[in-house]
Amino acid sequence: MTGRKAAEVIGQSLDILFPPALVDSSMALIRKTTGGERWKTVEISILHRDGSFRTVLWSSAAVFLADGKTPVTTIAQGQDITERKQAEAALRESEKRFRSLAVATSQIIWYTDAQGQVCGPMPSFQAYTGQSDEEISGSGWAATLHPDDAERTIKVWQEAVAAKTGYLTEYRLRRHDGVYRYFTARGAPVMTDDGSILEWIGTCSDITERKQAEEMLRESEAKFRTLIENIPQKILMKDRNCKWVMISENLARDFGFRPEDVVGKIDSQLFTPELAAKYHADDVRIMETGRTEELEEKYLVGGRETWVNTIKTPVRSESGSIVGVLGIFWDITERKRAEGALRESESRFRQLAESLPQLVWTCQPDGPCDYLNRQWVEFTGVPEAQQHGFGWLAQLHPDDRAPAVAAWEAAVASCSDFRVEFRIRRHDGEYRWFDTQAIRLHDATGHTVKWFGSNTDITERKRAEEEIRELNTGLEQRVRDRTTALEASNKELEAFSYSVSHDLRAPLRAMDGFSMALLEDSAGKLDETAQGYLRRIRAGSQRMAQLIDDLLNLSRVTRAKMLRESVDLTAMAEEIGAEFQKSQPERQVGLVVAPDLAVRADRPMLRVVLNNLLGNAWKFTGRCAQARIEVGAQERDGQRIFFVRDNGAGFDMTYVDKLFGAFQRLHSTQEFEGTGIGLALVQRIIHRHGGRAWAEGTVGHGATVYFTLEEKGRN
Amino acid sequence: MNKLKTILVVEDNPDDLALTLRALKGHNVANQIVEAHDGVEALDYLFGTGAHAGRDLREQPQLILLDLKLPKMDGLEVLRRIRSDPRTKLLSVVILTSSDEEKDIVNGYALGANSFVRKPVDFNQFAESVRQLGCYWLLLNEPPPACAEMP
Repeated sequence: MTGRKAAEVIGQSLDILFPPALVDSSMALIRKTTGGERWKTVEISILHRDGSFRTVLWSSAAVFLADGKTPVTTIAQGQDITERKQAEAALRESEKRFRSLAVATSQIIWYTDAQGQVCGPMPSFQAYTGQSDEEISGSGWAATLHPDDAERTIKVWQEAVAAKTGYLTEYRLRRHDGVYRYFTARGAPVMTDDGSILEWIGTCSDITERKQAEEMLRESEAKFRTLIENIPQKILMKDRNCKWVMISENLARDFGFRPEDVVGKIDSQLFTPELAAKYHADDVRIMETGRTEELEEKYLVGGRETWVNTIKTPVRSESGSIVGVLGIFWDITERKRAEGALRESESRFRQLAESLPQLVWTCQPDGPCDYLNRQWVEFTGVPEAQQHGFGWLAQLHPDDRAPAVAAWEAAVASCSDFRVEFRIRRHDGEYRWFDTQAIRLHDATGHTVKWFGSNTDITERKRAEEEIRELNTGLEQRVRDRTTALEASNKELEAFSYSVSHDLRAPLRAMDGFSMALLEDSAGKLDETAQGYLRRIRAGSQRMAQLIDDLLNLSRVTRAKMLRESVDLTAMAEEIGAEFQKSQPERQVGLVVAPDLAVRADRPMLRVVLNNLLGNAWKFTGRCAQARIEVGAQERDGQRIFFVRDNGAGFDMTYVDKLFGAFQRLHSTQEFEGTGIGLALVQRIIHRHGGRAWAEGTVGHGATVYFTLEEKGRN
Repeated sequence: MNKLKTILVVEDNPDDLALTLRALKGHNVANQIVEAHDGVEALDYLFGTGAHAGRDLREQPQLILLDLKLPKMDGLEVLRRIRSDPRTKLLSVVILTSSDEEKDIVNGYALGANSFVRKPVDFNQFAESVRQLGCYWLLLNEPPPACAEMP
């Protein structure tokens, strides 16, 4: 205990056992123990030979004589308790430190008894939850657990208690203000030397901020994922070393990989050496230059050639340094195909355009020409390129340029089709006329995509038109001349008629008048024969007068103005028939007129026609016992044919041609009255109506005169 | 009422004139018949000029039978002059002519003819027409008062 040998100590004063500074106090303590025969124990420090102190539990007792009053000697014993003392001090210190730590850290410190029951205050826990000592005691603390976490947490806790093992879990605890915050809870049993649990001690670390950050990160990641997995574009990201960091599912699928198989790899592990080298070169270049590149690439997807448009852009860290490369792809196969189809259709169009006899061209939506076919180039003898834009204008006739440009600009501005005629200079200098047309090709929204135009050589047509125009002009002049001549001749005819009507009748009147005067005044001096002659003179002059009147009528029918109107032919025929009946009431004639014969004709002229036809029928049935006259109409080849039929004298068809000639008669005057002008008049009127008149007859069996009032084909 | 009933016959054709006079005389319709052989002569009589200068213009014919086709001045012009002069504008004028041209008829009436009669070739008809004309215009028709014609 002292590090000294017995020989060193025996005979020495007790003083040497104590540290010099503590000799007196130590001796005083010892003396207290030596006063009686009972053991008394004090704790004193003993100086070790090596200079260190040791704590010793000093016990001493006096040995008395039989009288019990006289001490004989003193017995002492010492127990070295230095180690224990040190341990106690260490414990005390540790506990002090622990308390300080518990106060100093933001963590909540908790402790429970071996059964997991809180049995004392837990200041940091209570400071957080705001619970009182009573409220937390036992399992009261668990009331602050988030309802969603409570069951699980308690289970973990109970299992840990049962298994006497430490545990780690997360849960939400309600703060004194009602706010739940996330904690990481750790708990461990404090074991005694014999392996039983002394108590439980644990901490709760507030991880709410971390949780929120994690949550935000997760959300952000999810958004990012959702974005890249749902946009049709395909996305990849590689790090500075060209190692794949991310690939969208659709892109991975195109490659035939799973995304997780790609991430972490480099191109040479995924693609053929050539492709890998190309991709690598692209990536490195982009990261080195820091420039975004857009390129079109072709790759195979499931054996199918796929065109993609790629944007590769460097990825920068917050500090701006390049940390990788981001690639965005989209499928442009359809567009490429459409472009191909367009090219093909354009090539077909060109083939067609080159094979047409016309000059064919196309223009851009806003007007400039961008294509002229071979025919145009050959016709003009000017290279195509020189005529692009508006170069073609130089080949137009100078007089046609301004109107052509104006028409073209108007068509382009109004998006309407273009059609114009102009002259183009041929390579030999001759200008030829072209009919120029252009149509507009437009897209679904109505925007012009292209103009397609063609020029057709119409020089020959133009020439023919010019000739026709000249001919027409000449013809018009001829017609004018003819009309003037006709008018003059009409005037002459008119003057003639006038003169006839005045002058030709006067002598007749004199012949008749003076014959009459002679008959009246000198009847006694003339014998019967002479009087007969005079009567013949009178009859002749009267007949001549009748002929003149008929001739004048004929000429009037030719000259008179015609006015078509609706005429009831039935009514008119019946009216005329009635007149005849009235003039010869003694005759028995069966007149049958078909009902509702409505026509469009010149009323006075039609009356002349019916008057003559019915008059003839009336006249030529004069010797019939059963006279019958029929007026009707029949339809033939879509044309209405009117007729007047009788059962009278009829005529010999041999002479049918003479029937309608003026002054032609098939009967003698003795047989039937008449001048022979009637049917000529009828025919003239029918012709003026654009119609036709003809007759059929048999001698002794009547005649039928037919007529139409319209040109054939008109109705 | 004037007792002397005068008819002025304007006719260039002597045959027609003779026949007209024969018809008129034959029926005794006129007291006095004045002949004029052309338009100018007719106007001279009516206005007291030329051969008829100094004639008493209060004595005007009760009826004028006017032919249209006349030498020097045709019948329509004569009619126009008659109608445009206040002294003669109310006289009864009957156009008696060979023509039945519509144009003549329309113009005759337009210029104020009181009647238009076509001369038939048949003398019987002609004589009858003239007789009827004389009867009507000289006997039946009430002429306008003579003083009313004078300005």
